[in-house]
Amino acid sequence: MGGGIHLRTQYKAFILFVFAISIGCKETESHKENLSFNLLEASSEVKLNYRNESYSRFPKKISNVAHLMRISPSVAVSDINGDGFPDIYFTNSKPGVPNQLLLNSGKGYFKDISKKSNIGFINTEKVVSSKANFIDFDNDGDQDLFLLTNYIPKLFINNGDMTFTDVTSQSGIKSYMFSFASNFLDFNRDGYIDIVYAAYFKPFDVLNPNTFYFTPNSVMEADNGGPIVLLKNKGNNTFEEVDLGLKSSGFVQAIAVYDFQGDGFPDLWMATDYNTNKLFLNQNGTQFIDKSELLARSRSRTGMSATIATLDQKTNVPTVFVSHTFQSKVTVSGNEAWQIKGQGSDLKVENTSNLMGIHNCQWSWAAVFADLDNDTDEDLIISNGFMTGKTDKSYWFQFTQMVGASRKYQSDSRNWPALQDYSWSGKQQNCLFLNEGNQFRNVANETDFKQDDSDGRGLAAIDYLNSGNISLVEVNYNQPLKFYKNVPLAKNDWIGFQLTGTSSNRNAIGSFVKVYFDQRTLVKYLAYNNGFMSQSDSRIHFGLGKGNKIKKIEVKWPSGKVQLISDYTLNQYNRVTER
Amino acid sequence: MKLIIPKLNDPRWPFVGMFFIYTTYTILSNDFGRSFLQLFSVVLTIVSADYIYNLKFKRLNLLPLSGLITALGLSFLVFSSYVWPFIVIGLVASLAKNLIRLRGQHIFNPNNFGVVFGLTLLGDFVSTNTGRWNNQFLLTLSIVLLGALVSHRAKRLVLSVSFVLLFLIVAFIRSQLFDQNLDVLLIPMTGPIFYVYSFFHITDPITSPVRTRNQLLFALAIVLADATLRFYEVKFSLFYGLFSVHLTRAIVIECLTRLHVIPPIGRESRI
Repeated sequence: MGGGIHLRTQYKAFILFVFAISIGCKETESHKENLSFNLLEASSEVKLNYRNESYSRFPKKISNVAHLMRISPSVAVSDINGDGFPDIYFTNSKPGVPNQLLLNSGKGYFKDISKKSNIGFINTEKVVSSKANFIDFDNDGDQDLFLLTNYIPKLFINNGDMTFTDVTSQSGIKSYMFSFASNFLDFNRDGYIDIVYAAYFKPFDVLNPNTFYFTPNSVMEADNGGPIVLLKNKGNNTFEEVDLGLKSSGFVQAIAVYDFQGDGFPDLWMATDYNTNKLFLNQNGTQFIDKSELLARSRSRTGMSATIATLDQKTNVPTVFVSHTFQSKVTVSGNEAWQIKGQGSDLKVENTSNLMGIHNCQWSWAAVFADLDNDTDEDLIISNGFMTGKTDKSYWFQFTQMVGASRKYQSDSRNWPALQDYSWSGKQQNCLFLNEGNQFRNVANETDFKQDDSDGRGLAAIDYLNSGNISLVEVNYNQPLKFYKNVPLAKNDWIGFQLTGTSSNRNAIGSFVKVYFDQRTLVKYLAYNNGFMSQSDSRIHFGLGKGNKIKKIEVKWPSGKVQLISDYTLNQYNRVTER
Repeated sequence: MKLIIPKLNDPRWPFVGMFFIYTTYTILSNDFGRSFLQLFSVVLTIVSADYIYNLKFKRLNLLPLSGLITALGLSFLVFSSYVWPFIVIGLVASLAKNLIRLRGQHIFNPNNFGVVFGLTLLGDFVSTNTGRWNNQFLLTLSIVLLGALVSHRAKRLVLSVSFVLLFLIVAFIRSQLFDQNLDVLLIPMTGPIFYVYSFFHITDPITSPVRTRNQLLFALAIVLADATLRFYEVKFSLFYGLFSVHLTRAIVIECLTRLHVIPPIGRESRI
């Protein structure tokens, strides 16, 4: 030893060792097989020409954090006129720029009815749209609109003639907050749809703040964000805020609903920016128990979107997919896929995203589970990309500077470097993870996703032709939408259901539908707004593959009734009413 | 062969104590996502590699104190969702320490080498824990106070303090020269990781200078390297900065040796 650097055998061995590790640790490209479907960008064909315009007039004093205040576009799929074909609603957040309501002609294209609908021209200098959610609040058979904004959310009742009436002032909805996250549930199973929504920042006028202290005070455990509001539906288009233990540290990005305990009462999962995700278990409709500590101990951190599917057809254990940012050297955990097992004190959570191969989709936003090839497995589609700037210079350097700063420093918006002409994870290609049993394979390059470099946000599944082929509509931040038409290249069977509750809420939110085969069972839980800034086609859709014999199909309604469906037709949507 | 345990006045013992505290903190805090298995893996890898190396090549049955410091340091500096990067990084850090040597001493701070290796070559699996410290003022203050004690004991207080002060001065100069916002340039100084770095990372007794003047120069070199890297917006510039200073220092020493400016081997090599 000693006496100068010599490239002796031991040095060579060391260099070889390091080289071998670096080569061995590069992620290998997946083996490619032909897909049995294609996704073709068809926005022109279906006559959708929406281009998002987002709020940009922040006062100069906070213009440096405009990128943190961004109001993402949302997309909501809902059958507004009850003709059996799903329609689409898009939001903007630029004052004076209307939201768009597009009616599905049933012939493969959409028609703009925004002007007539009364839910087009909503965005003013003071109030702009955030997330749109449609549901039947009054159980009258048509879909009403609950619209999050930068201010008090708005409630519009569907008049049944493709027009809406703003009933916010009479509704009892009064909490003032800037929110992206909301969902519907019948938390007490009284047959009326209740609303849960959560603020991102603490309540203040985000368009013209009177404080500088609103940015997250930590990237790992920020506690200076906004609250959660649970609105109980009183049954006459009015709501009251109830406190059932939903406490938050803020920055909630998405709320997913699922009956994790199997007791008929819907539970809540909240994807939270800058902190642990939140899990609230419903105690018979009287209280929510906060089980977030379980997630914290299991290293759940920061989420953009939460969506849920039962991927394992043998155990039917639910998997909560939480999208997150993956950036080499900076945030390498990426997306999470939580399997929830057991009940009560035996409840266990396990992140399986690495095992499934779905942890890396760069800066992920909305995620959708849908069986795109009707082979019985749910595939996973993710929109991604944050901010494409004028240059390729990356803002990640500035971000890594901030994350090491003190809490007080981080919470002061004046300290955050401006985005300027930098990009922050811009120009990213969406992911299409094909379910191949225990693992997923990203096949984006085999579809029109290969051309995608937009800053994706909301993403919704839609069967716009009622063909059983799930297409996708994606809204992009300050960019045109993308409509990905699903073109099957092989024929598989499928079956769909449109549920109508009678004792339960009319939309049948909270129902389980199960399709039994010999050795396995397909399970779907009906929730309307799982995901981020998105509402997918609310009809239940199952791919059936080829030659799979169905043993039985049953619905477990929110009321607790279990109904066997014996009269059904394959390859179409079947209307099922609660009996 | 009797096990050789370093004496209590060995400057590395305080580091072991502090690193143990930080490791415990990272295990108890949910923010670090650190599992016992990861900790166990990195400790076992480095300690056993060091022990075996010493036994086989130096014929010393030595308690691997330095290995323990490296292992504990990596456990609270490196983040990964997996276990295997801790083993690989631990092994690389240990090999780097034992194989890349100059004048009888290793060139790189093994902790720093491990972090830089992880970030550079395993970037899809590894990041640092920079944002995972609970950035409370009291935590930062306790790191500074305890760090000052440990640095003083290790005779590296000048290095730590001069690094902090020079960082401040260079930030001010940068703000004047390049018309940059001084507040933004001082962001790193407001959080705890900066002081972990200042008092526990650059002060590794083996790879940092002994003499006061050289500690000042060493601190200045790191600050300048860091400032240069920051100018080019290189992420985690503190780690890369120290790495580049170690490398440069080794090259300079080698050149000076070849030019017979300094003697080839001896205690004075610890400049």
